[in-house]
Amino acid sequence: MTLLAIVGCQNNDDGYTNVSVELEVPAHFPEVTYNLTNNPLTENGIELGRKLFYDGAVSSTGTISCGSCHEQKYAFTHHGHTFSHGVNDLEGTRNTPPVQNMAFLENFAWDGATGHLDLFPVIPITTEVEMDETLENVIEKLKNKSGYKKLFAEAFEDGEVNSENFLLALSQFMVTMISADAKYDKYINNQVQFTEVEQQGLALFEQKCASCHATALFSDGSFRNNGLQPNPKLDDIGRGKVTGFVADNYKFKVPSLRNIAVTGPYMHDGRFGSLESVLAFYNEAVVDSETLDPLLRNNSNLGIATTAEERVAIIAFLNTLTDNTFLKDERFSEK
Amino acid sequence: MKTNFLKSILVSFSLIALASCSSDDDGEMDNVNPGQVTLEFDSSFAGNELILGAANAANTNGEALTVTRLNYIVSNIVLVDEDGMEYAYPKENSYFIISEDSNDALADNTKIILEGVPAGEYQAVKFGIGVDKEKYDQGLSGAGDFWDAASAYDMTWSWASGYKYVNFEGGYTTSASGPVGISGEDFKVHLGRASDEVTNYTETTINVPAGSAIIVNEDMAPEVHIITDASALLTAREAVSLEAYGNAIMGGEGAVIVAANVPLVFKVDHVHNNEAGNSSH
Ligand code: HEC
Ligand code: HEC
Repeated sequence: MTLLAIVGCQNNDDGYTNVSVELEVPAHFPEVTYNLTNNPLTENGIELGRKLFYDGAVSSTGTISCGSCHEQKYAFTHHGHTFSHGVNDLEGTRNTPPVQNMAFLENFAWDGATGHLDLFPVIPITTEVEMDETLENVIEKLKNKSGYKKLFAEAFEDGEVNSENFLLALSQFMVTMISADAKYDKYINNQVQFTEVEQQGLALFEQKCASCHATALFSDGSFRNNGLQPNPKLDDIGRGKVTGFVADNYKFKVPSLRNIAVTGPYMHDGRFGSLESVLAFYNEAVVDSETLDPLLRNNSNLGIATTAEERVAIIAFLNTLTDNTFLKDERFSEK
Repeated sequence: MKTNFLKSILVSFSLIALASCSSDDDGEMDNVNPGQVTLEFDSSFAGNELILGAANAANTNGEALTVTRLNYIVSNIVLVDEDGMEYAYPKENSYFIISEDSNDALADNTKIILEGVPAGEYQAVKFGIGVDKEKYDQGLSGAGDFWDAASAYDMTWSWASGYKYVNFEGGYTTSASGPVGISGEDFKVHLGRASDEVTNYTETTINVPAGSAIIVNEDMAPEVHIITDASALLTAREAVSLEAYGNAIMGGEGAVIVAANVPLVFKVDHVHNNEAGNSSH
């Protein structure tokens, strides 16, 4: 399955050719939110973005790259880490979400700290516990690192090594990272059949989960409180910190469930080690609060009731969201 | 079979740019004998000169502020003539940082120079404070050096990526907390986008004083002196107490109140219709 189609090329005075790339959007996906007219994809732009994603020069110690926390085989998450480790092994307070299908999101990070993909990398780069760097410094380092001058020149019309082009290249790369070739997608496209238990799981999922984990992205992009007991040590109020409104306290972005089998641990603070624990939580441990999502409060019953048998079926269905093509796609690899 | 995709996009961009300065039958103006206009922003505090680091008299909340920083983004500048015709300065060049800062490493920025303004007699200046949704949604494309400049003036967030529209800081005392002075509590008022629904971006239109137009043509270089009343940020429309918000207003209801005050803090004090080549103050 090819996601990228070559639609044209651009010849530059210096004799190189930069080939335009059109993003192929799977038919069952929602519309692309990223503005591709402002930042048209090109082969060289995407390739530069890939190189930057895996370059430790982006951190103060020169050792932590985007790819250190966002590892491909775990759908670009920091597998096995509750909190992500950055420079000098300092720990953050949030679990690393997957970098996949970014072209379709409205808001980024668990709390929607930014509404534009181009602006997102500023957060990890400048955060002390992550990369502890400044954008200005990163650009200086890249100017002095061999190869980058040429790569920027070949990727962008004005050829400058500057923060605008740096961030546009990272976005180009991330925009192409589409996961849409799981068993579920083949099922939707009538290429494979589900087993009986997967089929049962899908029906249960649609009934109990799909109001929030909606669309082919398995997220409606909204911010909600799904009833996790706040961790008193962190007291992370999520969306409330970004907007400053009390009504947003303890709300987090509904995460995509694509590749969920390989992206553990789960939730914004990585508190659950398995999908069984997640379903057990929805079944019996949802905590009431002022901002608890109304969908999880039916009269006096909190949460989402499931039997042991139903939980097995739901997990069987969730396992159909693993996309091995994406997890091994060389276009996204460090090489 | 290969189309020249990228180039055609670039070409169509430049056509749009050209088209935007040549229409005349739809309320926009012909650009003949263009001149230069300077907007100078001068800060005050409730009718007095704003002196960074010096205490001011208490405001209506009983809070006496000592301001150490007043930085803000002025954007989307439009000049309006006596017939209500509008000249919009090209949007891609219409973002500026105005700064008065106790940090000596940051040069004060108080002037905006608009080049190529069509000849005319203008009666009002309209502008935005902050970054509008359209610009925000463009991300970094076309941002050029503006992001870096904003970051140097502490006009970007790092924990929630985006621009600060206003960065107003200092210290304050209340009658309860003791004598007026730099001691007391530090305060921070940072205004920016909370969400797509609550953008906190505002616009204002300020008229020139009666009888004085901004006269633009190739021989003139007028200067428009605008007074920014720092005190009014917290009082103009609705009073907002720093103490009530724990000394920091960076979002939520407090920011919404400040955003509603923002358009009311500016006024044109006077206009100097200088001849080009001369400038006065
Ligand atoms: C130290 C580990 C670490 C590093 C290094 C890191 N990230 Fe992340 N990334 C995270 C964490 C943790 C989050 C969630 C942040 C939050 O919600 O507050 C995240 C979130 C994201 C998201 C948003 C995903 C979503 O679903 O909203 C994107 C995009 C992203 N990172 C890209 C990058 C890029 C590009 C780089 C390199 C410039 C990078 N990250 C470096 C840990 C890291
Ligand atoms: C009311 C909306 C809502 C419903 C209904 C809902 N979820 Fe969630 N789900 C969320 C939110 C919000 C989060 C993120 C919470 C956090 O981390 O604070 C989440 C997180 C998860 C996660 C962790 C994902 C990750 O990457 O860490 C899994 C797995 C999950 N939900 C599965 C389910 C399943 C299965 C169902 C149905 C039984 C379900 N959810 C029903 C809103 C919902």
